[in-house]
Amino acid sequence: MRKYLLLARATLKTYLAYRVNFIMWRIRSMLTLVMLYFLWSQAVVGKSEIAGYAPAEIYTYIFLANFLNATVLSSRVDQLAGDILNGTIINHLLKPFSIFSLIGTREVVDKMVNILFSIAEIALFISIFRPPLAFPADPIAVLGFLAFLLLALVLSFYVSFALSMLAFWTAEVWAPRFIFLILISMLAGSLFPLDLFPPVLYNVMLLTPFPYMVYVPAKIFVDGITPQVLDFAIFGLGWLGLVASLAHMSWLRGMKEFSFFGR
Amino acid sequence: MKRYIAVILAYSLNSIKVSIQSRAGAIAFLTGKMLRFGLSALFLYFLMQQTKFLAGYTLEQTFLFFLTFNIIDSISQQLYREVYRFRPHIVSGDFDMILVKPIHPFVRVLVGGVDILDTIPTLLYIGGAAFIIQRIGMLSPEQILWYILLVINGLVIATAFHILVLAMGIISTEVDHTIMIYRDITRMGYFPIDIYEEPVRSILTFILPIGIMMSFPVKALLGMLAPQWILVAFLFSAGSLVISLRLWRAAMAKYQSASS
Repeated sequence: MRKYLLLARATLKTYLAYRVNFIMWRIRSMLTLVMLYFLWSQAVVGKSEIAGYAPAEIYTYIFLANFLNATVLSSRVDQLAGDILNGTIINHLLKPFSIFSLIGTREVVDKMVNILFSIAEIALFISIFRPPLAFPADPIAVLGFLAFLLLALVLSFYVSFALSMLAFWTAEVWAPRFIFLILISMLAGSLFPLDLFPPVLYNVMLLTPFPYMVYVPAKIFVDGITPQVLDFAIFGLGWLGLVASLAHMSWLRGMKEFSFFGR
Repeated sequence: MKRYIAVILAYSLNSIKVSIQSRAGAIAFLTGKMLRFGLSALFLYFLMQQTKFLAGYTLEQTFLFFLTFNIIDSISQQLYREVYRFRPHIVSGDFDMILVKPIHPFVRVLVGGVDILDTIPTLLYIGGAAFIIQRIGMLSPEQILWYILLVINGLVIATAFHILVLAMGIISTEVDHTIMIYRDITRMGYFPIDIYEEPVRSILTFILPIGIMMSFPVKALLGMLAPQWILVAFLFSAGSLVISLRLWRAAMAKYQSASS
């Protein structure tokens, strides 16, 4: 346990060493929230609902999506691709603890820092603008939200991990990650509830893994447990199983083929 | 001047060669940009289907704001791509090699990496804006001229921002986040500046001049901008360019090579 705490402390120290980077990253997150808040506050002017969402539900969705974006999509596992390409992964493999302990500890610290700051920023935002909010009447909805949040965290980790594994076979890891980032920024539901789109498009989007990272947990918090949650669970868990298997297989095969000169 | 043009062309040619060397990267870059644009446009379309108006603007007018943002953003990214690669020059000391060359350093660090790949999306945005302008109709040549001049004015402000980022890079070695914050701030001009309430709207117009950069051209086109505001816009861009150049000179006076 002590080694994990030391790893966690070292990870935390890197945040403190690069304070400006961290502050700027948080400012960027706040700017997106400001834009979305004002966009939606204009969109709901004089309306009792928009795409089935009451104004309070839309505001709640936007704040939750911002929180989920900071929590689920922030990850340091993409560094693994760089480690493979420049050979520094060897340093990690030679250490007297599993590389997965290192990745896991970094991820936990990263998530905790992001959760803490994200909650503080959203609380500050709400205290300044005082928008109406909708909280679920049924506590089961909160449990559902937490369960799907966990699924989103693990799914996002494995997708990012699987993408990093490409570095075992190609130096062009930037291209698929760029496409992935574009898709996730638009299809995860960080900017708007996906059911704003017509049913055909919405259903196609639900076939991809992206909505299960932001839209689905936020939707469950806002709408509560509906019959659709079963579909969400089946597809979300299906994607998790598929991506996790792919990531594990790629890791095992990649490690067998990996070689590096000069280290 | 001839020498400068020749050097910029040579740098641009090199940049094009680098861009097309990695075909997968080039295809991914273009696909990603087109996907983001297409999905954003779809979102805006379906949002407007629900709301009909956004801050009093119709669907076509809102799309014009969106496309104008994309035109200014895309051209400035295309011209000033090299700014994104400035940090390694500073931290490695390579910037010294640029300074000793008999040309202004801006030729290398500001416009030394013109990105040809951005031409395709830029032309698409310009085509889209022209189509909507034609659809809106009833616009005088004078209004269209003000629109074009204010888009150029927005590009001048973007130039000032990029010079400011370079100056900050010299002073603090921090470039990556500064340029990304600039991108995020300008992204607030995706939609008409009127969606923001006071005092955010004034801050976004006069302190972080996103309103002047992105919204003023469309407002002038639609005849919603008083002549004095057009004058303010030109004065603001001239002022911001002068300030950024002064900051650049101040940063250069403080520059200490990383290698010495």
